[in-house]
Amino acid sequence: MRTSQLLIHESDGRLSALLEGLPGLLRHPRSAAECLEMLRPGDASVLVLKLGTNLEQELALLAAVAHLHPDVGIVVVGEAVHSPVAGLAWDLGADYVLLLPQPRDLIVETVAGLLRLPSRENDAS
Amino acid sequence: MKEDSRKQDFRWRALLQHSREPLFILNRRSYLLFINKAFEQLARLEAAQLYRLWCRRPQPARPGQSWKTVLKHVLTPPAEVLQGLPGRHRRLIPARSDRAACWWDVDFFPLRDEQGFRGVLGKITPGPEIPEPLAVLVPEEALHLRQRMLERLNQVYLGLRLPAMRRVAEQLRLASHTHSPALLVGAAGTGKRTLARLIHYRSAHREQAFAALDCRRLPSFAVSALLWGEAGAAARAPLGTVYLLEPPALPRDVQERLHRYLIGPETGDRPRLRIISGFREDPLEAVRRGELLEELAHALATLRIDLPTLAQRHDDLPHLVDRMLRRLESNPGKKVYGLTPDAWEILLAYAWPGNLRELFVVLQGAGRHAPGEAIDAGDLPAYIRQVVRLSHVPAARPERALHVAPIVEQVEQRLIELALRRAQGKKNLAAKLLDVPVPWLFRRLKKLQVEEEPEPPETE
Amino acid sequence: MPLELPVLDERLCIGCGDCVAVCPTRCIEMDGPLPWLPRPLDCVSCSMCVLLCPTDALQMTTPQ
Repeated sequence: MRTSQLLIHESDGRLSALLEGLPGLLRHPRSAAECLEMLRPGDASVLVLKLGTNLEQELALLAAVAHLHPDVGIVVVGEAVHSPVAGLAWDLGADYVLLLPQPRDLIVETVAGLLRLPSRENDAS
Repeated sequence: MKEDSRKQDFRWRALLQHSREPLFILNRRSYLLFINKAFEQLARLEAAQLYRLWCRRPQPARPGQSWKTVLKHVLTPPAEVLQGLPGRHRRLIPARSDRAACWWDVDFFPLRDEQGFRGVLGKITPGPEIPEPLAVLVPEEALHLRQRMLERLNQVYLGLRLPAMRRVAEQLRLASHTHSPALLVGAAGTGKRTLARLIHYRSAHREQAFAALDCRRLPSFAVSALLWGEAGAAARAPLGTVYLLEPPALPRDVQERLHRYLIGPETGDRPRLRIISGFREDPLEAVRRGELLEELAHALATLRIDLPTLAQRHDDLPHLVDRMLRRLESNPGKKVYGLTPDAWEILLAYAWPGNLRELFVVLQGAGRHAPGEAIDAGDLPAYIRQVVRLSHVPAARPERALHVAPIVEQVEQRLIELALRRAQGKKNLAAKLLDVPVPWLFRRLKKLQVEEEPEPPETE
Repeated sequence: MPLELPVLDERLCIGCGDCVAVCPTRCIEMDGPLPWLPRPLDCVSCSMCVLLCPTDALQMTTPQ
């Protein structure tokens, strides 16, 4: 069943602490396989992906989720040192790429915004 | 005559051999038959060392594997080439001790005779070096991810040869040859974002990045931060094209700024982003409702492409379903190769108000349910089956009585079970969680005959 | 975090909306033809939706 979920992939808990209180079931996938397991067809959840521990795995996770769940919002958060990778993250399908440091509002509101799915009735289909 | 033809033979071989472009020839089974001098120089290997190299390696070489292995992958013709479709494909050449990592563009030209596919003639165009920071920071596998993404996008492009999309394909080509803003109009799920990506990756700045921003959901300061670099030049620098979904959702001041950006002169330090916008209805409707600045609507609409609904592309369904099933194959574990005729009948009869997105979600869900390799009618959602064939509606239980007492009792039992579970069996804690007096809980448990620790049976 | 959440088998769901009507915390909603969980944190696992679904399309499961 489509469920509003907030999936956070990071090595420390800092983003989870920052994003506490947002609606959506909080999950912590540790790998691409776990992440895909948590997602259902048509899911409009949000994945927050922190770069830095293992770029190869993290970018592969980004690519896999963007490929198989195009409606999942993906926010990639990196450090300033990851700036050469920002373009690659956009290309692989991120809905937003942020390089820390950033005002906490920008991070929180971006994730919160992507969690809010516009009501289908409002769409001119 | 024989003398002449031998001279001619010698001439064309010499032409290939001495041509400045690195050339190669594969036979029908992808064994390397020929490389010319330019190729030898590029690869720093002699023809004899590579003769009969078997070039059927779709997987890129892992780090540490030999240069020959790398070449095996680089020269492997993609599936569509083996089926007769020429094309240019970009391959990553890993860094070597004396050279930085770079790209090679490989043109594959399939050769056929009456019996079918005979071989491939190929040409290499050595391409741009990969900039130092990226090459150092990002593992090669990650760069391959981008390549794979581009190859898949190419499959979408090939699908545009189908009749319903020919006009779109022509407009796409036009759009990719210019920097002017493009405007895509199409109902939800018709593939606007994918089309925007196609335009970008076929345009002159395809080496730069593509960003798709949903103006309805992202906070407007996130959108403007990206467009005008306030989020730090770093996050913005590598972008070539930005796709904006539903610009009317942007506040007025951002719309005004966007308008000035589009019509204003190019500012010195940064080249202007190419802006593609996506609308679910004609942008003039948004203008009429006062949600979109008229000047902005005009500035965005230099090139307009209208996308058909899935119902309008009805004949494309087999091709689209096939492509989506192959996309889903990349998820390990579940392989679905097709549909039964019953399932096809239903898919073809359904109107698909949700268009391509709905089709993909339905196939994804049905693929999970299908026990075998083919999706059957029973694996499809009931809401689709019942629109198409009333006989397929799942049998409903006889209408459930809404008598309050038994239902409330069931819910009560359930909450008690949950509370006990959460309290790990401790009844005092469970009562607290349920916010009931402990004796009440004991009475209820006895009445519901919930399993407890063995006790001597009570005499009635 | 709810102990259990409803899970839908869309092969059985006829879109009647009874699950939405009966939910005491309004955590479930219709999205076109199918129900979904926009506020899963509001679910109290009471399973009213499961009990009242006319085609048994809903089941409670523990989120992994």
